Amino acid sequence: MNSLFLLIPLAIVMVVVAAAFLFAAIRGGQFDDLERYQQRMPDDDP
Amino acid sequence: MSHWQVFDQLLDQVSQPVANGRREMLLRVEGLRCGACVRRLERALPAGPVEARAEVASGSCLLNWDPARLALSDLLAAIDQAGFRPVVLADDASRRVEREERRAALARIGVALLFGMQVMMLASGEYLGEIDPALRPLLRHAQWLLATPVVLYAGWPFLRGGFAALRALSPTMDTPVAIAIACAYLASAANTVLDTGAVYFDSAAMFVLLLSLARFVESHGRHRAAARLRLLAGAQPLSALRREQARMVEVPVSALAVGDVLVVPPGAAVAADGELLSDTAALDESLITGEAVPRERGQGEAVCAGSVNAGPTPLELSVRRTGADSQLSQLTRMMHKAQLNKPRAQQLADRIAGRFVAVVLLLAAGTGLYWLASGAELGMSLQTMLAVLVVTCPCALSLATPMVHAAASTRLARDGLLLVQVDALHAAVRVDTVCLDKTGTLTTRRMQLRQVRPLANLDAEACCAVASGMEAGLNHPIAQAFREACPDAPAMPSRLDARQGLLADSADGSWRLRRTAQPPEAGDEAGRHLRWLELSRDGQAVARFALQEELRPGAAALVRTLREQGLEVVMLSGDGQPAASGMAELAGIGGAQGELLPEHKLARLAALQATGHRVLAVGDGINDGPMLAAADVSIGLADGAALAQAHGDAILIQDNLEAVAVLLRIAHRARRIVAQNIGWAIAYNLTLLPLAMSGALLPWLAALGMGGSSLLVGLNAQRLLATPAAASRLTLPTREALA
Repeated sequence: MNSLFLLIPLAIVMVVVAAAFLFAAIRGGQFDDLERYQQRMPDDDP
Repeated sequence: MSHWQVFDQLLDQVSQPVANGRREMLLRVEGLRCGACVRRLERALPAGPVEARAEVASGSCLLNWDPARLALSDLLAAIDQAGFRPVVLADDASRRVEREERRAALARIGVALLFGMQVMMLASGEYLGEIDPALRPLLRHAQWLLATPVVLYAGWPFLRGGFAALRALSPTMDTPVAIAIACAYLASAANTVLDTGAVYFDSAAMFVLLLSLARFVESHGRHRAAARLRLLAGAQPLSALRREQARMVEVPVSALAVGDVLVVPPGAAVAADGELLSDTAALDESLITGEAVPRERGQGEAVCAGSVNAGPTPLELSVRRTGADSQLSQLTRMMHKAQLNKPRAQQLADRIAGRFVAVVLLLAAGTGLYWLASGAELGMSLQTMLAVLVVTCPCALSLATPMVHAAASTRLARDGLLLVQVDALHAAVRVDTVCLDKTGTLTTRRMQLRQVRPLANLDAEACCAVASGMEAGLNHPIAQAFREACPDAPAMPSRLDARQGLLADSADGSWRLRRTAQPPEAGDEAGRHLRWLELSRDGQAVARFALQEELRPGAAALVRTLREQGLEVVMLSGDGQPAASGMAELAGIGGAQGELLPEHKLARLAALQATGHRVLAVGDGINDGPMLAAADVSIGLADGAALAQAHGDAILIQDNLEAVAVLLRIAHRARRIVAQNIGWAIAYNLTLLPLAMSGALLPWLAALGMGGSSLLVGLNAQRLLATPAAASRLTLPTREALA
């Protein structure tokens, strides 16, 4: 039971880290175009 | 001196400043066809001062460059030299604002999802059974910590919007949402500190997540449409070639004055209204009149801004009207005015929101006072009051409509319709009349050669080859029809004459190809929609050609479906009456009106609306713009004029017109589903309310009910996705068939 006092705060820290990565990805423009990549596959030329 | 230099003066109009003194602009690039083209384009630009992100799908390129190190004109010249044609677009800040909005919305959804999942996981313990009292404070404090960014960051738009509307005393659906989120959060926080009662962090988090997702999908179609429009807006010329003595100078359109002489190269758009100075010219006026075939104009005739030089040689004109006085600007103003007068259906949810807020606040206050008066402790009274506020959270009610809108947008996009105004779904339910434009809407802009009638000793193929050769230098639907019929004909140098038509000289004699009335021998009714051309040699007619406009795919099926559903279908065309009637017959439309100017179309539409009809209008040209702006529901065609699309409630991006019928079908189903959702939400709230007021409601039951009814409403909306597609919709080959 006592392990929860360590694991829950650890989980919170990990969520914050994950959110930081998400923010970096959004700011880098990775989610700006959600249409293009679904049309990419039939493109012969990479 | 390159002609790109004019854009150095237009820097503020075509680009936006960004950090570090750099600027950013969106460019339409013609000739961008594949991944290799993208690399070629990006390599043609110096990597340090320029960052380029090209996109094949939209044929656009986003440039971020340092104007101090590289002039815009040099940048454009470099792209030009790499073999692409850059089209400079007028830019406003809207693109950047929209991108920031999208990014913020995604970040909010991400936060709600990541943190909300943790909250729900920690909350699940309390649903499953009794929690060890030693652990409960830890679990609850952790939930509080995790729910805080969800409520305060992801839920901020709802909180701000809701309370702002409350302060302005005009509550919207956001107001009860904001009250519920704030109450659930504050009550849970208080119970966490006091270590009593129940906490609702998980309900609040889930609610914020579902609502943000629904709003994002809803706005997605609007953003896509706006992005398309920005690329199309480049059709309006920003600069013009002005003749100054012997030289030609590229100047911004704003610098033009009455009396200037402009030179318009083939394929370019005329920048200002004027008077033709060249002997003859072929002008594509489809933007203004909707007429697909270029019109031949003679010296001294009026030329309208926005028309395109369709002839093989540059034309000259003298400017008569500029800017706000031009015919194009007047049409634009007419559209804005019509749009202002358009009734907008207020959403059902917003209409009931005000009363809802008042009733909930009264009930909560009444409950608290009742318990206090009947001798309960202050703490107990407050707990019950908060329970009422949380239980009456209009989660399902506020999700009822946006979830359906989101599903409808997604479903319509599959049939090629981008829904710009979701309100159109409500208006579409009451539509009983459909007005269609002819050229470019019911028909494509292409033509087909249907008949060749030799009149002399020359056979059909030879006649066709001569006509095809004469049209070789031209680029309009008739020329394309001949090219398709006779692809190998040798080109013949030809010239255009306003009175005589197309003239050419060869070893066989001097040829003339011109438009002619319908010949008497083809007097059958079926031939009325054909366009006739006559070819003559040395003044003697040798052949007649009949050309036909092509019906757009799905046009006849659409008319049939609409009439089966009891809707009236009307054609309003700017083209001549015989052509309009002929085409209407072909498409199965009963009533067709031709020779209508934009203001006539608007008047016809207003007359229909005045007699109580609800009208859906479909059009493509600027000439349809006023009609589209005033109609109850309007659909613009993606290959039409940008200005017309700007006033469409929806934009059709695929060729198949049957999507129009799908829109009506979806609108009816959407209304049913919204009604079911709202009915369920109200029934749910009314059932739980007495339980909460009596203080007998189990907290976990309330939370489960809230989440459950939100999910139910969302799933019910998803049923829209299963609406069948248009009957004759083209299907792509399956994976198995390709293998």
